[in-house]
Amino acid sequence: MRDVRKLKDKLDRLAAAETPAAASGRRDLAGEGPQELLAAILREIDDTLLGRELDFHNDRGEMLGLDVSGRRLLRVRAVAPETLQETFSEHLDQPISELRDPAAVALRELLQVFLDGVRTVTVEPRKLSRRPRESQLGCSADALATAWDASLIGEDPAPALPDGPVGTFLASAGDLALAWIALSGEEIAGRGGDGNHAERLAALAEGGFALPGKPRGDGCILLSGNDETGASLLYGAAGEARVALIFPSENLARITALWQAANS
Amino acid sequence: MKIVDHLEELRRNFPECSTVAFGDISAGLVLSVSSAQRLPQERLDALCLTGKELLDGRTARSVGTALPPGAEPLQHALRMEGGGLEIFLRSPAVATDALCIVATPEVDIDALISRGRAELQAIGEV
Repeated sequence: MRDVRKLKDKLDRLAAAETPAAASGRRDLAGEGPQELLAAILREIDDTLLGRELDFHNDRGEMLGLDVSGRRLLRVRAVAPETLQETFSEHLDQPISELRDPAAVALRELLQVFLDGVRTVTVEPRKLSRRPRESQLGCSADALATAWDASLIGEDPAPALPDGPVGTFLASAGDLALAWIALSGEEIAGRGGDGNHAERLAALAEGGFALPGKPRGDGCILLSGNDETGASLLYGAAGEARVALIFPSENLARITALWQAANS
Repeated sequence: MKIVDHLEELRRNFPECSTVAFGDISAGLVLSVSSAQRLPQERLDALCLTGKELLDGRTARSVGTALPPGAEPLQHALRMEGGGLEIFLRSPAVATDALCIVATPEVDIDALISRGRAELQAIGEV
């Protein structure tokens, strides 16, 4: 159920956001106090699929620059001012792959200082200036949240998908998607993931989303093209919620297994 | 080997499949069927028409535009609703041939798709 709540929370935040999560420009993070703001920072990492530099600024004028890709923290790229950087300088630009990496351990301490006593934190995403090496795994936001006792799920998420087999399936499958849109009626209530794929889904939705054989009740339709393109589309209906996802065809087995698990 | 033998073979290997129909999706016609129970022709026709719509219909083409260029024609479709599962597979040998399968969710979908394509290939080579 954790995955279900996580996606519900994401869909809620997407639906509430004035701009998509991956849009450029500085935004305020939601949260009060160090622990909520820490969770908000980790959620930003968790929401970042494509390679991005995430610059976090607090209301003391301090800055923390993280390189993130595939929902994983790759490295701490920048810390300012120098007084904040002092204890961290040897870890700057060091790749992070595991929680026990010295840079990850030092980052936890740095975040405590960065968030202590601040009221607001903003985030400014930019495209990564350096492509990560293929061997650079990074550390997932999930792992960081678990180790640092922070929740990637908001405190009071309004359900975007109903409980039950289809809602469970859609929420789990969302984690494997390249992009998704959530519909309320015929309106797009939220979108996430890769911008180009999300735009394709949005264009499809604007055309009335007249999928053939669209399920009348709860259900899903999954369509796969030529193997070479490597992408498949899923349309799901769960209660009043409608979700469309584009996902890598290599995840087909996992998607179908998730559906089978949800319906067993 | 007759077409129906290929369909029977598929059902023998995947007992979760209650119906396996072979059809021409350009015409929406079921040409051969293997089923655990006799289904009315209207049900078979509806199944084949769903396959035609999902793989080749007007809206299937619009879905194709949402996928990356080159995705069309769609190769297979799954419809999951009410605890049931329908699978539609386009033949790799003859683009207008397809299998329309009714199964329970427990079926090994990947294995069924792979085996179904192999049977379609064999049918197309006859």
